[in-house]
Amino acid sequence: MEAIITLKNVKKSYKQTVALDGINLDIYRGEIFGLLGPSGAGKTTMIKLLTGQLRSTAGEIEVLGMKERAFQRASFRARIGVLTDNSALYERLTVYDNLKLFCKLYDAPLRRIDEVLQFINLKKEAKKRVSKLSKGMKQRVLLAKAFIHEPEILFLDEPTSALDPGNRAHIHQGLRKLNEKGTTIFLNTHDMEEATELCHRVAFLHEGKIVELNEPDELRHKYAADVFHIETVDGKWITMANEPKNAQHIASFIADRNVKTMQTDLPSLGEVFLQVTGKELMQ
Amino acid sequence: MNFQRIYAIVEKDVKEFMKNPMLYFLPFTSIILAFMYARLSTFDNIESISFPLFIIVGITFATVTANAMMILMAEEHEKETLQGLILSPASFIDLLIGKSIVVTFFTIVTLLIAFFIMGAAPELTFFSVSSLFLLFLFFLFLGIGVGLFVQTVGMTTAYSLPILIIFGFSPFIQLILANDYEVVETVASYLPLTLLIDGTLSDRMINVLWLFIWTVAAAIFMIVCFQQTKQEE
Repeated sequence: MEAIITLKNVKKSYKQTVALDGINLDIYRGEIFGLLGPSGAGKTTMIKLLTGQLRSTAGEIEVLGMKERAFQRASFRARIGVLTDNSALYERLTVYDNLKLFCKLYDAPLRRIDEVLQFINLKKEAKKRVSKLSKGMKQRVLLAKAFIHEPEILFLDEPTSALDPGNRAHIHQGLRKLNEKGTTIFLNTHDMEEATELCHRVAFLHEGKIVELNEPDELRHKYAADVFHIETVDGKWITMANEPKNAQHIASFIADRNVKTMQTDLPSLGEVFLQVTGKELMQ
Repeated sequence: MNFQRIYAIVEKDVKEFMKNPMLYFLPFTSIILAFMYARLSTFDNIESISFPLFIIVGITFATVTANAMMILMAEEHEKETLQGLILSPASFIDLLIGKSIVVTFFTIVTLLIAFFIMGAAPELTFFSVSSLFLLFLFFLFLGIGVGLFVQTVGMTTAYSLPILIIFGFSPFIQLILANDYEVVETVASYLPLTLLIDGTLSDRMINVLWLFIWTVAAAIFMIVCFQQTKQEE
């Protein structure tokens, strides 16, 4: 697989505070990569480094084959899309005019406006002023603005925070469609459900360091408690350790047709994060 | 420099300008002042007309050019739309030119209306044209710099009055306070509008150099504020 983003021993400090400390990471073309951590873990700093808004203190960063010093170039900016929690739209202008501005800034053809409006399901609102839109609709327009030029990598910083479940589902659906078309997505989130649902791989960022990196299911299995839960036909729950000595016991339940459900104890990503770092994701 | 990107910013600013009452009331000070000058004065020689004409120019640059630029930039900053422009492939020059074109047009229209009301316009010599151009750039850069520096539209009101008094009314400061305070007279004589008026009336080329220094200082201030904003964003 081709690494589209590479970080080698990257550090970023602000005076006395170390925001990122010795980050080593490869992100591959075509994946949805999730960076999980609570507020203040260094997630936004990471996106700012990868999009050229900040310079690293030490280490090497390469994005799309370009070194950090090239991140200010128009040729780099044209290949990435960014949606951060403080991205904004021109409230007095219509949805169409906002998208038209960014279409032209990124040298994208104007037909892309209709395509992205269709994509985010806001075609009917094209002529509406942005100030008249709901928060969820605005977020969808911001997303459209970030990918109107069909970037190779889309950087998203908490794209669904403070959105209701309906709007979140809309955004998630859109992101999956974009990824299917080949866009690599770098997603910062503290929402474990979002990460589990969307990401191919996730990394846990804790106090400026990556403390775990894997596929969400792999992580959940790795940190699963080694027990079985059996629900009997009369509704009782029996928990037993996943050990060879219990095999006969389990087999007898099955033989007696006394098993209604049987499951292992898979933790959520949030619970895994808590096990690894001792901190809640939402802290 | 990319003309498509500049045009995109201009197109967006025109639409915003038309929907922002705060901006289209700005020329009224200059126009009302021009009307008052036209009613109250009789201009019988070039010197008597030059002074009020350049006062109108100075006030227009302070209230329209600098103020409109301040409001536009502060609004981009406050509403966090500037981040979108900074992260786009548009360069600093694209942004600077794109954001200045509408204000430049607005300034020219205001001046033409004011000159029409007064029934006169400054004599266009090499000296006056180059000085006017430098003075315009000075106010433009100052407006952009302050707009980025203040961060909110509300805060621009705190800066617009000192800019108007110090840089737009400097010849009046000189007239009113010169006899009592020599130091004020000296300082005021080096302020951009006073340099323009004195230079035009006496053809002193050194004044163009001083105006150039003021413009470079304003440009440096603007670039520093832009770099600062880029880091904050």
